[in-house]
Amino acid sequence: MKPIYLDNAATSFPKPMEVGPAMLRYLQQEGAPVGRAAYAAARRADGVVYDLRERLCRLFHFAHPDHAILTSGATFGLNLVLRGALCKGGHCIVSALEHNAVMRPLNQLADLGVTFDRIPCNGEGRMNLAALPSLFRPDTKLVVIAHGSNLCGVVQDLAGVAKLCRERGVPLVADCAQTAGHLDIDMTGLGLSALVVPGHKGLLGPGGVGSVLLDPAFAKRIPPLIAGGTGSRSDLETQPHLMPDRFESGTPNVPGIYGLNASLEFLESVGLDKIRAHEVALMERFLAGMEGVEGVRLLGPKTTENRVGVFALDFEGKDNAEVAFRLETEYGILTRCGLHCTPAAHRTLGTYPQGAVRFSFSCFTTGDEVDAAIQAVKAI
Amino acid sequence: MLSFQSTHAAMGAERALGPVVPVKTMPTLRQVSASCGVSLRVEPRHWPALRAFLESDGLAREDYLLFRVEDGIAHPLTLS
Repeated sequence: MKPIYLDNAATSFPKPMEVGPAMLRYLQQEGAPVGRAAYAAARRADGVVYDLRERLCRLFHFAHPDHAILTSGATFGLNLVLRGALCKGGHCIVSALEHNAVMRPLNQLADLGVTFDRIPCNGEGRMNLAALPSLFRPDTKLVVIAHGSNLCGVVQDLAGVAKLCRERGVPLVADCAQTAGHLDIDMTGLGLSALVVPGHKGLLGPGGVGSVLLDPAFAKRIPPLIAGGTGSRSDLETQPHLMPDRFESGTPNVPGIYGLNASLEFLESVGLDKIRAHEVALMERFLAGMEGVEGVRLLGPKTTENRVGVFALDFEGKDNAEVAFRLETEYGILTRCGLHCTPAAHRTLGTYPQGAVRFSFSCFTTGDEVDAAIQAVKAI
Repeated sequence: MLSFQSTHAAMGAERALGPVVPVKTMPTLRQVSASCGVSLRVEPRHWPALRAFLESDGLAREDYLLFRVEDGIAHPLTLS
């Protein structure tokens, strides 16, 4: 039985064919540090880092490659902006569907006096934008929104949130962990202060690498999360202010950078429009297949509009862990059950504490694989 | 020789200058320690082309420092 991988919201698989060889090329042939040396191999590695920043900027419509900070992943990026913007206290507004990558640092900050409110949403997970204006306070320093839910796939109205934030001069951070590589996201057009992405989900790269794009004005206002060697201004024992070095201390995950650079090259060659069209077709297929299935509650939007291919099913009267086990052992379908690192979203959508079974697609998922998942759900 | 504060700026300059004049990367001279570790070296015969490029703001002026290096001594250069 050939496994059918439908856990792409956790990490995408397969990767584009170019990713592995690119990483191997660095490990076996180049192996030089980045940002620290002038010899040819090091310059080749620096060139890949440079290319990656430029690709990230093209992908997210951002004009400042030196403000495309390379991180270990979205969790690091979210910690950077949260702990940076709220380092002196204040109030933060988040959606009601945030991942623990936001809620855990925020709750740690709450122990130090930071306060926060959640924007309520409807039964499908769509944010109630009308409720947002009343949540702003004089000390609101940040709004953080999960652009796409990692539980039910709903995509929030970032433009609407951005407008309200802009009117009040409050920085907006978009956690694009579930939308990057799936949707066209315009950092500049939206006026985001920060856009946070992991490399290993929709961007199709390896784990352990990601990015946070920082608006230059916002970057000046937040301290780095860590300090240390950057390869620049080595005469100083204080952190340099120049970008991107200010936020990038220590040797980065260079094999990961090579891999992510290769996967973004792949995404550029295919095009987001084509990827979106394929994924919409998969979503339509899955939604149609789930229509009228007894004993299964589909969370989130029932249409493809403003959603990505992340579907959570609650098998009423069954233990979702048992269902996920059967999906794998009887049908070869790999899903993720439980609470998906987002108790907030499960509480909001009424699946806490039992959790749900999540099916998530990538651009490599096929229609036949979606059909197999539908048939298995119906059979169970 | 051009030195840069960050390797990102050095790489950007290397790519921008590449089609204009032959450049070689080299470690930054000790006298220019307030920079990243990478400098771009351009041989004297290419100075006219380099100067024309820099004076036309082919590189953002705040991104680099420019030196004439003679007998291992770096002398700061300013552009018009």
